[in-house]
Amino acid sequence: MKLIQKTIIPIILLIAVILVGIAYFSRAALEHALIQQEFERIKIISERANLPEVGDEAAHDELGPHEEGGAEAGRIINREHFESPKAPTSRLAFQRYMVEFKDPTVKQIYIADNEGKIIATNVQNSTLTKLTPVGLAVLNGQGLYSISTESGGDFLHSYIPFIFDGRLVGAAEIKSDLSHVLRPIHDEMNQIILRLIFTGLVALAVIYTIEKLIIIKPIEYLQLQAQAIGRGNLNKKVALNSSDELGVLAQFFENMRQRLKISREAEEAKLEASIQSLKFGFIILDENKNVLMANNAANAILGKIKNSTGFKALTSYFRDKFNLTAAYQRCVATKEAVVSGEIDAGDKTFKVSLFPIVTEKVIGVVVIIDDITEAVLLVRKKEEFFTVAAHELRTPLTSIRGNMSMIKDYYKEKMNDPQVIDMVSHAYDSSIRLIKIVNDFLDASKFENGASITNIEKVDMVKIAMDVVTEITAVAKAKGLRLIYNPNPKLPPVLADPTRLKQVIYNFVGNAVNYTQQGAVEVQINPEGDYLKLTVKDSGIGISPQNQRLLFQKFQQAGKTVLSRDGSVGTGMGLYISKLLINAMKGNIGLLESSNKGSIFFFTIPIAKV
Amino acid sequence: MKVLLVEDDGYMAQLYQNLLGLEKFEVDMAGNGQQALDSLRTMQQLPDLILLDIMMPQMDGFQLLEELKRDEKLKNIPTIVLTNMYAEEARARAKSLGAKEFFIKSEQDPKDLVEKIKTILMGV
Repeated sequence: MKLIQKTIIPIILLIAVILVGIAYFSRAALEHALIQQEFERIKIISERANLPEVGDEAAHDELGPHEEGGAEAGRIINREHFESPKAPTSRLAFQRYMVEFKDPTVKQIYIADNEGKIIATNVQNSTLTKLTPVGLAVLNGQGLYSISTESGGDFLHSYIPFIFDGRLVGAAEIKSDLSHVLRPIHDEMNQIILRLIFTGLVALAVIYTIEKLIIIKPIEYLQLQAQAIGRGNLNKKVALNSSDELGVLAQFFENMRQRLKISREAEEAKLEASIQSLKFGFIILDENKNVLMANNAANAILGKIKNSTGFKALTSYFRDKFNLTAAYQRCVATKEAVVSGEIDAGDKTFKVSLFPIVTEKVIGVVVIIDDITEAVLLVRKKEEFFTVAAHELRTPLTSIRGNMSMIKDYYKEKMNDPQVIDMVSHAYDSSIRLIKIVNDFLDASKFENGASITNIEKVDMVKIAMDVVTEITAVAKAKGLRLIYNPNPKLPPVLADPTRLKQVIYNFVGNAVNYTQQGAVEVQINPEGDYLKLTVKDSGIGISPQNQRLLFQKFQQAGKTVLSRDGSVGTGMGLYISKLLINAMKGNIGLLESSNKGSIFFFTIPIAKV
Repeated sequence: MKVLLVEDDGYMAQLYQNLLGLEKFEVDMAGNGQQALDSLRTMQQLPDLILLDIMMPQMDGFQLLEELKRDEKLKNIPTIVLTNMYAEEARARAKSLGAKEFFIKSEQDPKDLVEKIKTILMGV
C-alpha cells in the first residue's frame, strides 16, 4: 500500500491537475473568443442603430465604423448633437439612436462626450454623470470592452467611439448581457470536469487494481517469504507465476532458500550426528523449559524424553539429590555455567552441567548429564588401594623397625657380640629406609593417579620453615655447615596442606644439607605477586646442565648413575614428589640457578586471600 | 598404671605389650574396637590410658573413639591413636573425636611412644 501512496498517487494527482488546467485554459480561451465575437456584434449593432433606414443591408455593409467621413450626414447622431447635446434635436437624436438598438441583450446605453461626461442614457433615473475610467481610456481607440459580474449575471461593457471627420467627439458605453454566450460554456465546462473526475476515479481504481495484482501482491508475497526465510523457516517454496522482474526476483529468492536449506540441513545433520555420538547425555531446553533435543545417551539415562514433559521427567529423575529447577534459574539469571557435584541417583552417579545459550538474552540451556559412576568407583578403588597398600606394607615394616628399636634400646646388654649389635643396627636403619621408600612410592603413585590435596588451609609458611630448620640444624652442625634462616613474621599466610608443605621444605633443606660439604645453606621466603617464594641456597659444587634436566624426575639423584646411586641419601624421589605436591597446591617449583659456587632451588605457593 | 591396647595385628600387639611390660605398665589387650568396648564395660578397674589402632576389623578406631565419647564412664579416659595412616584428614578426624595424641607407628620408635604415654599420664 505504501508503494502505491509513494508512486501512483502523485502521478494521478499530477495528471488530474494537468487535465483540469487544460480544461480551464480551454474555457478561458473559448470565452475570450466568444466575448470578442460578441463585442464585434455589439459594434455592428451600434453601427446599425445609427443608420436611419433600417434594413438597408447594402448600405450597412459598405459603411465602416462611425468615423467613415462624408457619410455622416445620413446618421441619426452627428457632430452637431455632441456640440449642443442639450438641444431638443440632439436629445431626440440620442433617444432615437438608443431605441434603434432593438437587441434583447443590450440592457443599458450611456452616451458621453469626449471628456467622458454622460450626455444621454436609456437608464431611468440614472445618477451617473461620467463614464468609468475604463470607458474614458478607450476614446482614442477602435473601441474596447470589459466584463463585469452583477448579481449572478455576466455583462459585457462595450465602449464604442463616435468619430466624425477623423475627430473623436464622444463614446457610447453599451452594457449587454453575456449570459446567453457564457452559460452554455460554463454548463459544458462543469459537465467536462465532472466527467474528468469520474474518469479519473475509474482510472485510479483500474490502475490500483492492476498495480495490486501485478506489483503489490507479488511484492507482498515476496516480503512474507523473505520474512519467513529470515525467521529461519526454509521449508516453504518461493514461487511467482510471472516472467517479469518480480518473477526473476522470486526465482532468486527460491534459489537462495534452497541453498540455505541444503547448507542448514547439512549443518544440522553434522550437529545432530555429533550430539548423538556424545557419550554423555545432551539435552537442549528452550526458555520455557521445553526439551528441544535430547541425544541417545540422555534417553538411555532418563528413558525416552518427551518434548513437553521432558523437564519434569528430568527434575523427578534427580528428585531431592539435585535441584534442577534452581540450577536452571541460576544459569539463566547469571548467564554462566552451573555444574553440580556428584549426584547419587541410586545405582548410578551423575554430574550435571548447565550451560546457557546466550544471544542478546538467554534463549535456552544445554544440560549435560555425565555418568561418572565408573569414574567415581575408580577413584574410590584407587583411594582404597592406596590406603590398604600403605597399611599392609607399613605394618610388617613397622614391626621390624619397632622390634629392632626395642632390641637396641632395651636388650643391648644381652647382646655380647658387637657384630650382632651392628647387624641389629643395620637392620633397623634398613627398615627405616624401606619405610621411606614405600612412603615415597605410595605418595608418587597417589598424585600421579590424579589424587588432589584436599586438606588445603591457611598456613603460616614462615613458622613451618622455622620448624624444619630447627629439626635439621643438628644435622647441619654435625657436618660443619651453617644453616641460615631469618624468619619474617610479617609475611601473609599461604593456602596449603601444612604436612605436605613441611614435607617439601624438609626435602629442599634436607637435600641442601646432604649435598653440601662445606659453607652454608640459606633459606629465604619473599613475596612475589600473589605468591610467597621460598628459596634454598647452598654452597655445594653445583649441578651440571645435563644433570639439571634430570632434576624433578623420578628416581633421579642428580649426577648419579643407577649403579653409583647413594642409597643412604634418599630414594631419588624427593624432588619428584615435591614437584607433584607443589603443583597439586597450585604452586611452581624449580631450580633458580646453579654454578660451581652452589645452587638455588625455589618453589612458590599462593598467598591466602583475606 | 593400667593401659588398654587395642590392636588387631598380632606382632604389633605383642611388640607394644612387651614394651609396656618393660616399662612396668599393666596391659589389657583387645583385638578390635568391639572387643575393647565389651571388655571396658565389664572391667572392674578402668585403664588409665587407651592405645588404639585405626584400621581394625568389626569396629575400627574411629568408631571406637565415638563409642567411648558417648559413654559417660569411659569418655574421660585419655586415648592415643596408633596408626600407619599418614593422611592429615585421619589425624584431624582422630583429634576431633577426642584423641589426645596421634602416633604414626612406622615413623617413630617404641620408646617415643613411651614418652608420649608418660607425658599424658603425668599431666592427668
